[in-house]
Amino acid sequence: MQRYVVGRLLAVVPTLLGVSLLVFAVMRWLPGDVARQILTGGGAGQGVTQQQVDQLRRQLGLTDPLYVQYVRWLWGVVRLQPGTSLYTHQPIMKEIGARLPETVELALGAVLVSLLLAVPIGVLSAVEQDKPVDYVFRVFSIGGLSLPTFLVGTLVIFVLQKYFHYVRPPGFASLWRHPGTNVAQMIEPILVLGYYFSAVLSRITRSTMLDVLREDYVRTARAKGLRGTRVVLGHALRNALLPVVTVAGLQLGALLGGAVITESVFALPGLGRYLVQSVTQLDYPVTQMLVLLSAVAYVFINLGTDLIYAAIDPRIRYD
Amino acid sequence: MQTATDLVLSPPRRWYQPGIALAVATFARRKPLGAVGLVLLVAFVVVAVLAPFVSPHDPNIGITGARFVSPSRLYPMGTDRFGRDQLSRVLNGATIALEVGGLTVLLGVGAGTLIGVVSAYLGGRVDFIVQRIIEIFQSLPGIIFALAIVTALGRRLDNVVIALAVAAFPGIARVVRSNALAVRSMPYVDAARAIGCSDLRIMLRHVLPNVVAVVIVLATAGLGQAIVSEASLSFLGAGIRPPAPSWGTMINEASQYMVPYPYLLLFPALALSIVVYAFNIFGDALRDHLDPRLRRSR
Repeated sequence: MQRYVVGRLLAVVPTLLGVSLLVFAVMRWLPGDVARQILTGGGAGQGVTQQQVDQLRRQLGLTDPLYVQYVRWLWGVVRLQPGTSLYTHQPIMKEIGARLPETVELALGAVLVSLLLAVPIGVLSAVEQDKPVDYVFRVFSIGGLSLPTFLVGTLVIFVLQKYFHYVRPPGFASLWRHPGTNVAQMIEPILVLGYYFSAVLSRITRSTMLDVLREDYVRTARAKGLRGTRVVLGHALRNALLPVVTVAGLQLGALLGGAVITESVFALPGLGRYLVQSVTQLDYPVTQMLVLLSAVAYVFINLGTDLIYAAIDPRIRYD
Repeated sequence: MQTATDLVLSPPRRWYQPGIALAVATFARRKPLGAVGLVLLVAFVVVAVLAPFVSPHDPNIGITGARFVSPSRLYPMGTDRFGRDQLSRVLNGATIALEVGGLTVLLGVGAGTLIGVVSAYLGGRVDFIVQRIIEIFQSLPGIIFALAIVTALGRRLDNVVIALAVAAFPGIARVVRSNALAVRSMPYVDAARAIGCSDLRIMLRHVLPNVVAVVIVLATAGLGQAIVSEASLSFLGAGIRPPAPSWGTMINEASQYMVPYPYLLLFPALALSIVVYAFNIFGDALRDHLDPRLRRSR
């Protein structure tokens, strides 16, 4: 077990290095002259001399050999000093810090909603396999898979505005200082993203529950006369939860992808929207940092779920 | 699989294969919901192919004096803020969805299958390295990667396809690999090696045909997913450049006018969700139908 943990931790290092190299390579390989973009503010480039462009490129260190740029960037990231935004000239970590609370609240809220929806739905549709309840829930969860988040979000905004004359308070207020406003702002995005996550999760809960319900120990429990709910919740669900937790963890890790769309629909000032903004503005230090951050989150949450898996399931042996 | 006797006894191939019709009929009987999905998908493909010929108006050019016309007999889905006929735009949106989805799947599933089979078959060090590289690609959120690629390379159809295929191939390579690993340890693969087949031949004639079922299922699900991703990118303003009538772009434009003119949101939203829903119910049924063991993979 200890060897497994150490091994897994060590394996993260090359993966992260690879990720950083890929992110860096893609950002550099993509065309688009950052210096010209900054000087012209995205315009066609009139009134900017080649000299000015060259000077700015030198200032930004873009004339150095690529490996020098890479090492310099990586060293900065490791010390948590990834530099400043090309647009606001603020330290990137400060910009990220300002937007982090919103994205974290969205992420945790959505995963919580998803678990609260998916586990009961999954259990019920497994117990009631191929009966009406199962079909209703199947339509509900395939709907969640089929309707893109941006569409569900737009529809929610539309229905509330058109038929209930309700418009969400814009922006994002701190959960601690203005709890009321915060909840009013976040409830829709959290439910929309949570519904999307719950679709996948309830399908997984259903299929693992179906497998577990056929196990011998479930039959034994029934045979010794335990009540149905006791068997389902006490014996079957406990054993089916493991894959469910894993997928919930993976969703949390891949969240920035979901946040990009949800935050754009609801105009929330979070990391996802910041990322879209940085991409369109060619603010490459910001893009690099955010993409790297989401990849790191993914890798570590993946690692975490694997380790939890190994810790609580004695059947799993890793050599 | 054909044997020597089949080749001798079977009549020459005709354009009409009774086997296919029979397979479809069996599928429809066992999976009625899946059959509904299939019918919707066939309708989608027909619309997508015929759209440029049957649209009543040019999807990208507005009609003077016809802005924000509510659905009527002349304009069944109404017109938008530029006076463009929405029916023509929704129809041509199907063409874009099919083009982007189809090409993405061709590229992404093709590359994923190739990598998965080769990696599983060769095994050892090659497999280890390929898997690490795929892990790296997988840890980057697909939509973000696609956003960066399309913004930098330009908002054109080919770039959208490349971006979405790059985002899709790692997942496919993983699933194909795990299936190919199981196939590799089958006795017939050993037998093929024993009679001196080359590695290439074994991969193409023995491993690949036996993972085709998985690949078909992945491709169906992938097509639906690619259509969603394309619409999402367009919604974010990073899809094919307007005025191209992508459903995502239409929904994005509608969101500013949806309260006074709800029909602008309704029709592209319906088109997109029906098509993706059809892909999902068809894909689900196909997975159960082709290989019941696969049910667990979701």
